[in-house]
Amino acid sequence: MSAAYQLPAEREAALLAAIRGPSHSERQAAFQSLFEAFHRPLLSLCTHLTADRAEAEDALQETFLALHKALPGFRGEAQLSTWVYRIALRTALQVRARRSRNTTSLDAQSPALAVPDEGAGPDRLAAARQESERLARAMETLSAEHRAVLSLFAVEGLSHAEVAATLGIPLGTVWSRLHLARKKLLAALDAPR
Amino acid sequence: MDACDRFELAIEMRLHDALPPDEGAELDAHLATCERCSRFERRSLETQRVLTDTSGAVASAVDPGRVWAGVERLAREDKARIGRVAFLQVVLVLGAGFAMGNYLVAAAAILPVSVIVLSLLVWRSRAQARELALVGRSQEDVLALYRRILDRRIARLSRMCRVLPVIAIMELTLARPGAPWPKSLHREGMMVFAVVLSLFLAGQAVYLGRKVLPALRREREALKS
Repeated sequence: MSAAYQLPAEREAALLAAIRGPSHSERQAAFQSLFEAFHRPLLSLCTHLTADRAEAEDALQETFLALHKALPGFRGEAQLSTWVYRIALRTALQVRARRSRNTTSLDAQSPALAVPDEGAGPDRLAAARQESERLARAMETLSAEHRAVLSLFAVEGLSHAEVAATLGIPLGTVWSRLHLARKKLLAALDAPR
Repeated sequence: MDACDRFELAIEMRLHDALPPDEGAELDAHLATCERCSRFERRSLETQRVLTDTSGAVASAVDPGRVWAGVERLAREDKARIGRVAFLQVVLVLGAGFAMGNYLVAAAAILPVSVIVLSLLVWRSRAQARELALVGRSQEDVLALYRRILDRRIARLSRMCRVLPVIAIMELTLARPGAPWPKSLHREGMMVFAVVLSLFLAGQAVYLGRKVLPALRREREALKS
C-alpha cells in the first residue's frame, strides 16, 4: 500500500514552521500546501463517515477551518498527518450528528456516493451505484467506532499504524476492531431491508 | 476466539498488506479447506473494494477549488465576526466622543473594553478549536462536546437577554429632558446617542429572545433524544 498521504518529516517540519511564522503570505501558502496534500484522503474519510457527498464537503471545509485555527497551537505531540485525520474524524462525526438531529434518513434520501465512471456502461453504472448505496446504508447501521475504523482503512495510502494512531488505540486492537466492524457490516448487508 | 476468528483476523491483515508471509501460507492452507473463511475473504475483499472505489471516485468528482473557496469563506466569516465587533467599538467611540465633545476621553474609556472583548473572542474561538482537537474519539464524546458548547452558549445568551433590556432602560432614562448631564457634555448629542443605543440594545434583546435562543434550545432538545 502506498504512503501517498504521508508527508515526509522535513516537509512536515517546514510546513509547521511556515504556519507558525510571522509572514502572512508564507502562512497562507503553507496552509494551502496542507490542503493540497490532504484534501483527497480527508474527503474520502468524510464521505464514508457522513454517507453524503454534500455533507462530506461541509465536513472537509470545517475540518480545514478547525485546522487553520488550531495549527498554531499544534505542539507536535503526534505526527501532523495523524492529528489532521483525528480532527477530520471528529468534525465529520459532528457534522453527521447535526444531520441526524435535523434528520432525513438514508432511506428517504439516496446517498449520493456512487460516482459515474466515464468508461462504464449504463448497466454496470447502475449496478455500481446500487452496490455503493447498499453499502452506505449498511455502514449507517454501524456504531461511530466501527464506521470510523472501516472508513480509515478505506482511505488509500493510510497504513494500519496510522489508523491506530488516529484512533488512539494499540496496533493489536485496530485489527480486532476492524474485524468486528467488518463482521457487523457483512451482517447488516445480509439483513433483510 | 475460535480458529476461524483467528484466520479472519489474518484475512483482514492480508487485505491491508500487513500479514507476515509465513502466516500467509498457513492462511492459504486453511482457506483451501474452510468454506466459512473463504466466504468471509470474498466478501471482505468485495466490501473493501467498494469502499475504496467510492472513496477514490468521490474524491475525484469533487472540485478542490470549490472546497478551498469554502474554507476561505468560513475563515472570512470568522474574521468578519471580529470585524463587526471592532466596527461597533469605533462607532461607540465616535458617538460617545461627539456627545462628550472629546474623542480622546471617549477612546480612552471605550478602547480598553474593546481590546478585552476582541481578545475574549479570539481566545474563545481558539479554545473551542483546542477542545475539538482533544475531545475523545467516539460519537458520544463529540455529541457531549457539542452539548457543552450549546449549553454555554444558551447560558451566555440568556444572561445577555436579561441584562440588555435593563441597560436599554438605563440609557433611556439618561435621554429624558431633565437628565442630570454634566454641562461640559453636548446635551442633544448625548440624548440622541442614548436613544439610539437603547433602541439597538432592546432590538438585540428581542432578536436573541425570539429567534436565537429558541433555535438553540430546540437544537439542545433534539440532542437529548
